[in-house]
Amino acid sequence: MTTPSAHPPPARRYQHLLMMACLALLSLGLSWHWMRSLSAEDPWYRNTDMNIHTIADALCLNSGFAPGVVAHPAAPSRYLLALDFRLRNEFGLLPVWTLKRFARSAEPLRELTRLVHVGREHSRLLVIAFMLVAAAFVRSVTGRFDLACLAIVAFGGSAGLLFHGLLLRPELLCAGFGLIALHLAWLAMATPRPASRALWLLLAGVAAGLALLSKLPGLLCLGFAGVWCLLAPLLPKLPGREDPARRSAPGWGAALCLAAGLAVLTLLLLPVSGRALLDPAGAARLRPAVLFVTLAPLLHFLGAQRPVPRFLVDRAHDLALLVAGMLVALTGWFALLRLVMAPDQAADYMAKILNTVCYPDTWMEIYTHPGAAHRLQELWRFILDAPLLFALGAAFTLGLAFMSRIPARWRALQLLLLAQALTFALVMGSREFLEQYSVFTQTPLLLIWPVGVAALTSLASLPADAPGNDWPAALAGTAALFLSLTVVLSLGPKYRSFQDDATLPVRDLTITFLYDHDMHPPAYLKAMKQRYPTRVDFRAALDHHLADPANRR
Amino acid sequence: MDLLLLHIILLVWLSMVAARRWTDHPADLLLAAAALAWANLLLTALALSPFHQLGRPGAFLAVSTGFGCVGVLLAYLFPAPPRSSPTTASAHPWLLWTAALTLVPLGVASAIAATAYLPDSPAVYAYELPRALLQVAHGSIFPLPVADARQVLLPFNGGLLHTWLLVFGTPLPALGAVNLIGWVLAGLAVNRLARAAGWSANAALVASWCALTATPVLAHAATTDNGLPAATALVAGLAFALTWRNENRPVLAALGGLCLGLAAGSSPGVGLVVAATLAAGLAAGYVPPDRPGRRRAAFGLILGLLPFSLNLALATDVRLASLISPVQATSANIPLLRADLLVPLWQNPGIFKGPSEDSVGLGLPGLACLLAAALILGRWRSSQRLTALLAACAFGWLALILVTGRWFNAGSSELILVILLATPALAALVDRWHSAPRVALGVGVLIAAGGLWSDKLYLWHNARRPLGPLLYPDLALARPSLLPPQLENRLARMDQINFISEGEDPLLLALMSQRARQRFETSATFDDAAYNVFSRQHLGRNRPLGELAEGPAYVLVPFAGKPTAGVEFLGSASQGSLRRDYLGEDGVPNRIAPARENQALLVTVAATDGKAEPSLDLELQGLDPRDRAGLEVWAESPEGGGRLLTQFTANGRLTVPRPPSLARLRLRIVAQNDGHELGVATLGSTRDLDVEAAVAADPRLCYSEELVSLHTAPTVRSSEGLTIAEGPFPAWNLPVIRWSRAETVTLRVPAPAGAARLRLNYSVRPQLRTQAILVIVANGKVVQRLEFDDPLSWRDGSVEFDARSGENTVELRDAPLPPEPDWVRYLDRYPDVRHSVEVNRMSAKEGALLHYRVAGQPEGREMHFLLPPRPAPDAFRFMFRRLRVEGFRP
Repeated sequence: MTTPSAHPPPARRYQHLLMMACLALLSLGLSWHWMRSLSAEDPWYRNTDMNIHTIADALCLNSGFAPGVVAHPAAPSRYLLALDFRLRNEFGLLPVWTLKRFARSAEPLRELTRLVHVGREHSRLLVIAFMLVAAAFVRSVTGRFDLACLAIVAFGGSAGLLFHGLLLRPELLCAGFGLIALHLAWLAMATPRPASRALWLLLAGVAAGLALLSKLPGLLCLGFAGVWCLLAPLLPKLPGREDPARRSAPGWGAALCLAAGLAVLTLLLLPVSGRALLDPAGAARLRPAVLFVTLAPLLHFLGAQRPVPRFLVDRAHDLALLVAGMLVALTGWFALLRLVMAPDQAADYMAKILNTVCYPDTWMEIYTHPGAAHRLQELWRFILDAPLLFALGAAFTLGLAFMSRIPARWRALQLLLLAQALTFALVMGSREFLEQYSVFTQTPLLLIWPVGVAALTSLASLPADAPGNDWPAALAGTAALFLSLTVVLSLGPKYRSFQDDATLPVRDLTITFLYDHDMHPPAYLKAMKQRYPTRVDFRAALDHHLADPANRR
Repeated sequence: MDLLLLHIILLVWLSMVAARRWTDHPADLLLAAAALAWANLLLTALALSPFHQLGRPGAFLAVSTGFGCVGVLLAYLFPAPPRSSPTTASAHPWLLWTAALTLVPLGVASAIAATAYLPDSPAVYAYELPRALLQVAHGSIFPLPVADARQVLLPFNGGLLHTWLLVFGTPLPALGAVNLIGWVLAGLAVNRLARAAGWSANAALVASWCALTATPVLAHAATTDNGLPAATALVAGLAFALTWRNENRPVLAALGGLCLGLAAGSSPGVGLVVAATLAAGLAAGYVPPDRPGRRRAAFGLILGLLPFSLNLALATDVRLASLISPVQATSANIPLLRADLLVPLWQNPGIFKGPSEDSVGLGLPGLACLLAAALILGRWRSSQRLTALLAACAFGWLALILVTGRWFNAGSSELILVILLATPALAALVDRWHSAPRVALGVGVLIAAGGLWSDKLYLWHNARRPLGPLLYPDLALARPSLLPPQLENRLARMDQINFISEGEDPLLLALMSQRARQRFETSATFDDAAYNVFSRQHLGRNRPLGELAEGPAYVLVPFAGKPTAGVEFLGSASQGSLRRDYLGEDGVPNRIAPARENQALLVTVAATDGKAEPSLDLELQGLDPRDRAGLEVWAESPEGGGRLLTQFTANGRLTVPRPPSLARLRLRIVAQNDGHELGVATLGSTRDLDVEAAVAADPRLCYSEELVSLHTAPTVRSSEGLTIAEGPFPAWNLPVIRWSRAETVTLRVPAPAGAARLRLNYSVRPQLRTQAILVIVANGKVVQRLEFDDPLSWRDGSVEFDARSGENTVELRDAPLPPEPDWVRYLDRYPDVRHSVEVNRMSAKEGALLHYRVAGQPEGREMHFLLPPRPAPDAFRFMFRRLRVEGFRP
């Protein structure tokens, strides 16, 4: 028990927290400012590969039609953007929010400009939300508000994250949901209540499922959450915290798993245009997951007594809950679609998403064509993109890993985050989209730092609110703020390197993206054709519109 | 498949939840859950059969779930009291892990073999699985009119598990999952039996380890034979019964009775053993008369026997002789002990045959179990009464097998019960070795390890279902083709098939497993709504009149120029005395076009010697009223004279007295109008097996070549654009096919000797395009132009042209489609037309084209025409299922 004189005066403690909060707010503001300023200078008609696709699909969703070709899931990003359009329309901020209105508008090009600006603002909001989610994760792990603020400041210096504030791509949501999944897995393995543990695990699975629905590598997020569920029960609890529950509540957990499995099976039995929802190859992969989820919890009935079988049964139950959550995400997604679309359209879109998610082999062969750069070379490119982050993060993690006085949970989490960064670098390296994919590697590497600072301060064996704990956070916060202030130096070039389609006259490829790309929904193509019967007509209209410099931003 | 998954999940859950309220031990829980699930399926089948709804998956799921919920309700209302005796010790962890690590790979290997190969034992083909398929087709488990009485009269509790899976459309190889689960449960049942008999946990584990590695038991983990599930149920029943006796918990009596009833209702042999074991147990005083739970046990027993008993009661034609007639074995001389399973001697060809499920020895664990049982029975029966009783039952069953000769018919599945009943003796022997318990355990482990070695050799060298090719694709998978290709081809196209078999047909299952949602029936009469397949003994083809006592004879009478499709010869299958011929006739008129292969009538001649005077049964198939013909049957004497015996004007059966000096039957097809002969065949004193000669129709035909065939080496050369023949693909309703993948496919027909005219018969469709044009050019001249607007509709036809000396060429050209009006652009260009179309509620395309034709063109409005895109150079253009070239003399 510490003596009263060792406790800091409350004002001093609050002063530190206030300072860190201000740093965090400043970082948020700076991030918003950098993204907005770069976006304001950027022509609206620049596609950067997916902006127009996402907008067209969102308009399509609001009109109740299923989007066209689904080459990658990207479902949550489209749905959220569609929801954003809908909400803005409700508040009178956006008159054109459906394809029908777009087709009937007097000046479609002007409406398109507005939609692009709204979409970019939408992305900026998501980036801010991402930073707050990261802060919440750090708060849960470390138990400290100041380190949560440090996380915000650190992410404010991540060009890989802020880059997505300038785009309309699914990687941001994928990484975000993956982070939520890991956070919920942490909560599950830390809670003392078995029923809460089951619920957290299910929700972690839902988050991983949403990550998967955003982008195929989201499946790895389920894997990392699962790895944490396997490791955490072997590790002692953090000092000063309650003993975590040894296993999830068998009854509740089994009921949740059974409900999830049955829901997915019911979805699979839904006919779409007279045929099954899922192609046989995809169904062959989903069915074992359903069987595992629904039958694994029954192992508890066998009442294993010995430690090893009991451990395996409990872990199987945990994994079943995670996978069940993922299945809930898939079926819940269908329910959300039904809210905005007719049953046949919702089923058609759901079928495309599910087939892409469960059987992506065809697309993967196209995306990861053989003969691409060697995987290790691509890994090196990722490292070179943020060399300090990789090098220092790895050194920090490995250095702390050998310090036995640091709580094992924190060390294990750091190692898991490092492994996550390297795994994503290896996996995503098979495609040449380094700039867009760097958010997957930079996120775990940045999270290593606040956890590491908490670990270092724990070496002094001081109470959490002791003044001796403040200075590492303050130091790290200052360094992170410096990064936050200078991030535009790397963010600007990263964004401008894609500006080969910003010049006038507009390139043919940009015309294709805006007018008649075959991946656009048929309703969008029809709307464009109705207004501009040929490409020549559209180009003429676009050139005329962009002749006025005020219409270019 | 998803509905089946749903049912499995619900069934497992409901059974486990109910069983958990009635049992404590994990093994008891699993055995009880399995028994409850099995009983659930029985009750569901019983409930649905009176309404012929058994074949409906939705109804099955609903009723089964209802029964499951009732079971859970009963379990919660009447839970079992807690165990009065303390929890018993479990086996040593090292022993447990070693057993698990050795048995899991065996289980996985068996699962791979079970799900990769079709079931193929004679009993399975003859009646077990065909019975299940028939039950699904007719929606009932109650007696059906079938050719083989065993299909309806033998106990079928085990078969109902297959019926259940087939209701949900499970592919045939997946039926092996039933026995796989039975194998796992067999180990648990033996363990519980040994523990209930009073042996230690370690000894019981060694006993169940040996039981699972005994070669006959493992062999049937990958089959669909009912022997393993029945034996497992019996052993589980005995285990529950003994546990009831030890712990005085009546619910265990109910479970024991249920398991015994399920076992007895699966196999007559096991039923006998159940009866004998119960009688012996009662006589030995193992079930005191005043013990509570006897009524529950009796209830469970009756429930298990209910389906078979009801079936037997409702059957109207009980032919006991057929019940005990054995299925012919595919191999004989099966040694009881296979020394070659201890050493790899079969690598010397000719010394030993390769093993199979029907031909496998005991293996080292099986041998050890029997020796242990013999020791217990011989030396320690007074001190080990219960184990000795079980050993006595095992030997009693073994003696019955050997004496009645069932061993040579049913294969090694009969040994399963012997081994499972004898394994508690092995546990007893291990426990008796007090002085060196570790040595005893070590010996037991060595025996099990020896069993692993035998099992590995068996799995790898299985003559019919080897594991090697499934793991290493470089190894050749020697699977003989079961069905003749023409028969497979024909079955792939039909939805309803009626199977009319003369006698027993071991390939019935393969015939009935062609495609999901095909409806199969077996009956003795022709079905006008189905495609009828006649199965005849190969030896019956043109059987000489002097051999009619051995069986009926059948003759194909060629009918030249038959205007309707008749009977076609589909090929032969199997070997030796089991060889069968298959012929087909479509009951649906005009579905099959008349062609050379099907222009024949089928006449069956049988001798009926049981009547007062010898007579001949004659049956005619294949005649259609539109043929305007009849069949005359002439009896010819040795001196050459002949008289008209009878005549047919339509299909049917007639009986005529057999002339005393009958040397030959002449079967003449004559025209109704003028009586001239259209075809003739004879049945005499010699056999002619040439079916091709029998069906040669047109006497002018001098050349015939089918290009869409897997087995011919055609003399007609085709250009590269015609792919090789592939198929059939029953899952996609496709027979053997060839694709044309070039704009022009050229066939070069060599000049057939004497041929003046050539005919090209075809059956074609685009398959992948909604519109296409096929132009046939023969020797440089366009002879036919086919326009397609439906990708899946077959066009059958033929073209004839003069033959040239030297090489003849036939070109199949994919002609370009004509330009199409761009009605979309027309409507975009003229908003007033669009408005008019919308106001008149016409379809956009129709309205636009109509307007252009009626008003637009006279007004000078512009309509653009679009050239349809040409397919890629190597696109799949046309699919052929028949391309036959025939040559005719002048």
